[in-house]
Amino acid sequence: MSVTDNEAVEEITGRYVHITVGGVDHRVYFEENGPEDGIPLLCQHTAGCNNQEWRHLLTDDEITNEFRVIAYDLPFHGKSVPPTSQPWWTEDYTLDAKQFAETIVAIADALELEDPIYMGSSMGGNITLELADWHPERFRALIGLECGAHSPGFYIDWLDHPEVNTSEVNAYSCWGLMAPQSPEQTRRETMYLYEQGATGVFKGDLYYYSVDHDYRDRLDDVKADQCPLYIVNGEYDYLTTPDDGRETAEGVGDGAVAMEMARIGHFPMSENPELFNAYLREILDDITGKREGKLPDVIEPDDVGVELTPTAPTEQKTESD
Amino acid sequence: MTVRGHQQFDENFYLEIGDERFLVQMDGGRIDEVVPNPGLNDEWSFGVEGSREAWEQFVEETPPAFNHEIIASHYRSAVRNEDDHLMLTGNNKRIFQNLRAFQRTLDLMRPTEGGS
Repeated sequence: MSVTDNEAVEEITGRYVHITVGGVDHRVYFEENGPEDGIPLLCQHTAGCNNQEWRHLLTDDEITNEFRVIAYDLPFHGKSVPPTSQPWWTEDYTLDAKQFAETIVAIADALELEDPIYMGSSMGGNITLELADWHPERFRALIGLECGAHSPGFYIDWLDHPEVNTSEVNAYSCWGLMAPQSPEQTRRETMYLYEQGATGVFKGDLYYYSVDHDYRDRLDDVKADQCPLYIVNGEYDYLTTPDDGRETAEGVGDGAVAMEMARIGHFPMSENPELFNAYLREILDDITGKREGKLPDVIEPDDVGVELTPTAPTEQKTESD
Repeated sequence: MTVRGHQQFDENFYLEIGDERFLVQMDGGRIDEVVPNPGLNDEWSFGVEGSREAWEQFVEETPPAFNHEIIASHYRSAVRNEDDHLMLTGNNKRIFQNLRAFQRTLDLMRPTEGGS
């Protein structure tokens, strides 16, 4: 699959679904592709972003032939506007673990998904620990991309400050989270998506990510033995490193598997979709029982037959620089 | 390459490479002068400090993980207390106000293909 090799009219469809979280109605936008009776693969975007991060998975027919891929915008993100019944503007947007997990389960329930696989990156990866703790019966498997027990230090005031161009800074604070081997085109697209976030939403999500989420002393509560948990972290993710992922999986124990993705970073599905989708197929095959043998500790581009493009720093430089 | 907004980058910053320090004086998005060993008569808003080894990794054409970008490196130093990563100092507001152009200035320290 090539990320530029798309049909004239893509098969993705977008709709809205109403969910109730904390007694409040939310209108949630979601996009999907794949057979109605396919295995649901529910995809959560990263903090401050939206479901467009998954657009290259939604058009990967090697995956959508079998799986019903669904990617949604959390409330306050993308096309999921704030709740119409609430004076939401009177307080800062702040996401906590309870509200985040409840929202994901409410979306799965509202769409009547049977044994869905959940997958999310960054804050969407961390929440797999809460989901396996609180709702192990609701999911067939959990894929925590860039997942860790604790990810401190990113609840930063400058990401929501009147004297800083926050739409730009929110994007560029993510630049180094991506691997230099990822194509510049898709790294730039990832940051473009970040520039679309509403003021304060990225920082509000990071309250969950860097403050509220702390499973360092609670890994025993994570019931991966009831719901398989894949902790899959990119080599270039400096927030939750592959070693952090291994430690978290070891702490959880039975049912938890850690795998390092080589030459990719914190936004795998959007910074290098071709490589990530190839890595993901190995994990999905493991979940569905098609794969023989254990997943490797480290998976490399060669393992999945993907050739990396020239590094972006070279491409960035021109004679006129 | 002309990038929208970069011509507004006017904050001087310094680079500390091991025992050496260089002041980079910016003027309208261009480097006006590089001053070795800046002193009391000079002015800057922020700086980047690190061992020579950390800088050598940072300027590799394809840098290794965690020394591949300044915020990445700073995080491993400031939050995770790891050695041999670059670290930001100085006025954080000025850093974030100029983040995009500042990152690009540092990226340009890397060699081009076939160049130096």
